[in-house]
Amino acid sequence: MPCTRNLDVLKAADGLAEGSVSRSRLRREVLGLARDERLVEAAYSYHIVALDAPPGEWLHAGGEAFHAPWLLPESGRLTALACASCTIGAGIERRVASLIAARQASRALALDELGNELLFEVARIAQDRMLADARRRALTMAGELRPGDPGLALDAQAAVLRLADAAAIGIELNAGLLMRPHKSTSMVLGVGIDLPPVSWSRCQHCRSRARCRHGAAAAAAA
Amino acid sequence: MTTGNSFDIRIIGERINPGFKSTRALFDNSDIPGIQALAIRQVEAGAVYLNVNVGSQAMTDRPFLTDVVRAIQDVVDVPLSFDVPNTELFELCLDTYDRDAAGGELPIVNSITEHRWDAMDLYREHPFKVMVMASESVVDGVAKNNKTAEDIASTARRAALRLRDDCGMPMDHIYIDLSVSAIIADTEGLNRATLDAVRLIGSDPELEGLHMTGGLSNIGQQLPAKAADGSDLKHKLENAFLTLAVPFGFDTVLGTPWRGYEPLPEDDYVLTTYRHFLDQKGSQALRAVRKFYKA
Repeated sequence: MPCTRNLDVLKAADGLAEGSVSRSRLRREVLGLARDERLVEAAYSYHIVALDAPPGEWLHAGGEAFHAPWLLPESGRLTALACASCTIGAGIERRVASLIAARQASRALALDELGNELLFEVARIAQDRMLADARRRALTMAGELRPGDPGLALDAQAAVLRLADAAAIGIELNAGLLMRPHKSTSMVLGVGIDLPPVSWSRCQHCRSRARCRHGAAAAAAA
Repeated sequence: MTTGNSFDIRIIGERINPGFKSTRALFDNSDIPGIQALAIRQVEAGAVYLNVNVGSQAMTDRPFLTDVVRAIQDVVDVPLSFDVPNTELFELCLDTYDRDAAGGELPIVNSITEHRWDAMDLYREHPFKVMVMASESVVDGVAKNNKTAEDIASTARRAALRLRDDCGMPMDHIYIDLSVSAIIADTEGLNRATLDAVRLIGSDPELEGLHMTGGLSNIGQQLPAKAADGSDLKHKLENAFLTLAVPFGFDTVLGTPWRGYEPLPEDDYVLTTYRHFLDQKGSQALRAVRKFYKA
């Protein structure tokens, strides 16, 4: 079950975002803060889990069941689920709280935003690693769901984290299904033989889609 | 991500190149799984070759170059095209390349010119296909840029016949790289010359079987994102070039596989404007460029 800690995502963040002069200045400042105070402990873990039964409305893998019909491919054969968990640790959220307490709201928001970007970057790295891993097994990967998004109910969170071995990188889930550290995420992707690209996106029903900087950045990179 | 190219063309995936900001970040971080994922995505989107260009890092970090080549071949089975700055690095790439992992296919050396022919010394020991830049020639021992269709076509012809006669290279192992210039600075009719050269090369019976290729990403550089009709200007310009070049034998694009290249209808705004632009030179050409984005 691959598990990677101490990812240097701050280096990658240097080139991630652009914006106005004042925004860039603030961003450089919080990047320096994150670096100097070692606020980021980026890590991910994942597991490609074979299906226990032929795919249907419910997908059974690793002793868990997921109601995720979106992952059923139009062609090819779904044979496994890739479950991943990612975190940047609790350092940034603690520092954001202290900045707010010190009435430094702009810095707090900029640091919080940086944390989100870093978490996106860790998720991207984890997905790339899973894709390469699947390909080495002559498998394809398609479709991404996250518990709580359309397509996968939030109550699947515990099962996803268990299969991804999220505990190995320090992610815990409380009774309200809230992950700790807060800047953590999890995902499930379809894995199989000759899976076609999916025609849906986990973002397609998001109300912030039109103004989302992360979506725009992904589109620009393509 | 758009896929499905409706031209009858082959795509050499261009994304493993630090000229793309997102790829540069992968190189800066030695993010091998990220580079592998990029390779997989290009192949899944239809690339039949992958071009590998690690930029200046190839000169200073040779283990990184070989790691990248091995890592890509670990996850995809298409052949590779190597874009490195000198013969020594070509040799390193060819030594590293695993032909079996690419289904027995030869790699491409990208690229040689009339005045940079030394990579051909490697051919006997490491057979490969080759990309020849037809935009440069040698006159009286001096390298010069070709600016007319006739010069481009005659350079391509000389190089192809030399490869055939001196090296025994089959014609379909030769890719003529035709430079596609940015229209914003094209006051000398270089786009016109390239398209006319495609016609000349494509109609030369001695060159039958040879491939014509080029990178398209320059064509729309520094232009606004939207054309006057509201369409994606850069993408439309790429398709306008292909609409005019593919029927005459331009059969391979060094490009982004998910761009979704497709022929434009005759009455398409960007194609019509591109045709008009091709007939202009000097300040008239600059005025014609404005018509792409100003109604």
